[in-house]
Amino acid sequence: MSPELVVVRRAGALWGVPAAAVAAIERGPEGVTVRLAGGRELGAEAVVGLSGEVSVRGLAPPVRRRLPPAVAGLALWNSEPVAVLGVAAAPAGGRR
Amino acid sequence: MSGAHLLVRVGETTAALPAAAVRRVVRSLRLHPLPGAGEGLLGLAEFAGEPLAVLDLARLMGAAGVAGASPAVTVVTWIGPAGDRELVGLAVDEALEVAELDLGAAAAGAGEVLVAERPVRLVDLERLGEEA
Amino acid sequence: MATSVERTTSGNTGGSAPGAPVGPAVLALLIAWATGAWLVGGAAREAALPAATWILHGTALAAAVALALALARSARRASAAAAAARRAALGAAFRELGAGDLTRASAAGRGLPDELGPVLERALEGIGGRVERLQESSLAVAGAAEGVDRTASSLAAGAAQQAAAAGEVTAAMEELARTAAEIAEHAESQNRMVAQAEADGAAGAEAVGEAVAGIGAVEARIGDVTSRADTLGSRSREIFRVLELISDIAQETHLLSLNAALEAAAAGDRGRRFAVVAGEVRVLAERVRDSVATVRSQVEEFASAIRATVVATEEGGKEVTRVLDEARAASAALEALRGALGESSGAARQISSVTRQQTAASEEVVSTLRELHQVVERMSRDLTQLSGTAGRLRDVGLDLQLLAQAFRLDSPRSLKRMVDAWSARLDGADAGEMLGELVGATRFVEAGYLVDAGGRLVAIRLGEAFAASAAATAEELRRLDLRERPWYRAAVDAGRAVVIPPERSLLSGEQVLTVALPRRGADGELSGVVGFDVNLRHWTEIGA
Repeated sequence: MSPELVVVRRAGALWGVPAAAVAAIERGPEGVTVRLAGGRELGAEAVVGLSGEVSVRGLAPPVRRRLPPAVAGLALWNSEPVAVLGVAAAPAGGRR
Repeated sequence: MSGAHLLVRVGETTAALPAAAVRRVVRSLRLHPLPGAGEGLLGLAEFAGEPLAVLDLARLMGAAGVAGASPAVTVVTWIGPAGDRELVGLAVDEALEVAELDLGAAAAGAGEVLVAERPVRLVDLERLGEEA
Repeated sequence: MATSVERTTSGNTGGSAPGAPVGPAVLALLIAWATGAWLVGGAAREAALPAATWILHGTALAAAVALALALARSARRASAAAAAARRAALGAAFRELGAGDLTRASAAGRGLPDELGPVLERALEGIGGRVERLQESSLAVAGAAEGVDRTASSLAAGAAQQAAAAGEVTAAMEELARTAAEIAEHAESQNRMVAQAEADGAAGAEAVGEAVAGIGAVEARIGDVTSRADTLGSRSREIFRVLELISDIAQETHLLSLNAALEAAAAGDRGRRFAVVAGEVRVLAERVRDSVATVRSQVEEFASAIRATVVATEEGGKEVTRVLDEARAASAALEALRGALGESSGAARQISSVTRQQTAASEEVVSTLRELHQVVERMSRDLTQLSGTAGRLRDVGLDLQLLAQAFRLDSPRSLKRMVDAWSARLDGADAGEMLGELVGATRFVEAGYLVDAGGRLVAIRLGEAFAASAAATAEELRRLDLRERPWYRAAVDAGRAVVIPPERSLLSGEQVLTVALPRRGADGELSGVVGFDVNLRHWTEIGA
């Protein structure tokens, strides 16, 4: 799968949200809020970019077991690894 | 049964990784820690244009690590059962050599062989990390 | 003694009664000789005045000869009756003359004929005039001698004081000279010490200078060492960098060899030989890694040693700099000290030279003072001698005065005439009051006193100048019998005024002549003696 990703920085790491799932990006006093379709939202320090189509690799069980549950795969953007969120399972709690 | 293995040092333990599963031995990759990650996952890295999860081999083996020492070498290898493998990085303290191990001479069940009078733990990459 | 002279004279006169016509001439000669003998007897005590004695002697002799010739002439022309009267008159005149009373002798001679009377009168006048001159000149001599004595005594005392003072000054100057010599010696000793210190200081300054130069060289060496150590330090840092690089390369090589071995293993049999090469490379890389570790540890030791050396050297350098500063300060201090020593030495030399000069000057002064001292002492001795001579001269003058006062003259200088006159005034008057008046009229009468025939003091009055000191003594006299006093006896024996030679006054303690006169009542019986003590000092002042 090769979606376009909205890449944000959150807690020092890069996170990718498939662009198709993003309803809105709001800039707030403490950063940005990415609103997802379905009413969920993700808080982040900043939106660092929008990727073109990137390759998202799936996860083998030993790795998946050790990553946050919302992470559906890994991608590389600007030579930096990005944790790609599954749309259905975006990180709960969202605000940092 | 015998085969080439990569011997690595993890803390005070010498471990043997099947050479066929190992793709490359490199210096420690630059790690990007991921908040919320579970034990044994040191972070994410990039290797040869691919994203890579880097695991702590010592932690996965349940071996005693050396406190405060950051692993100097990353072994890029395939783990997981055939058909559902994933390329990961294993952080080790030192890569020692590639050696042919006579596994028949060892008690396969114990997962340990003697190489030059030293005990070497055999790592089953297909099952690595599953038990944790 | 004067009393005995009086008595002797009276005796002689009384024992030579006139006899034959040649008698007058013989008598005259006798008188002349007697007078001479009397004069000589009076003056014999004082051999220092033979000339005066012989003048008197000659005068008396000449008068006697002239008188004898005149008597011889008149004797030839006199009748026998008249001759007796004339002899009686002549005898009386000579008795009075023998007693020294020229006034009465002249009165007795008035009854003599024309050829004798005037001659006797002239002779008496001649004798009287000479005696009067003698009275006056002896007074003058005694007075002058007294003055000379006083002056000489005073000068002698002054000279003695001056000599003593000169002696003291001499001693002081000698002390001063000694002190100056000591100061000079001390100054020279100080000078020597300063010279020694100067030499020591010069040696010290030289030594310090050498030390400073030496320390300076050490400092330079230390700077050298420090800079070389710094160079070594930076070299070892380079070495570390190179070792790091080598280590990196070795590590990389090691990993490459492992990867090569992995590839070889993957290649199966075909990769076996390659695996061998990879293993050799790996071993080589490991050896390099081990070597690098060894070299690193050695270089680290070396660098640490260099660092220690640099630190030690820098501390040594600081110490050396401090020592150098101190040495320079010591050198400056020594220079200053040498300067001060030089000044001190100059001052000591000056002191030495000045005190030497002072010593020489002091010695000159001392020698001059010694000469002065000798001169003054000589002068003092001479003055003492002069004083003694003057004293003797005064005594001679007083003796002459005493001799001359043996004559009663119509002269204010004649004490006998004075006492006769005063005695007459006592008659019928209150004795005490009159004595007071008489005594008060002169300065030279120390006391006047009236004693009755029983030797008791009837009245005494003291001269104004003596009253204070003599009053107590005068009162004591009232309790004594005064008849055995020489003046009382002499006056009673002579039956006329007598002069007693000088003796120490009981009243004033000074020398006095006593003039005494017997007094008789209307019946001719002795009623007492009146006496006057004439203070010689005051009396001679009249003549001076």
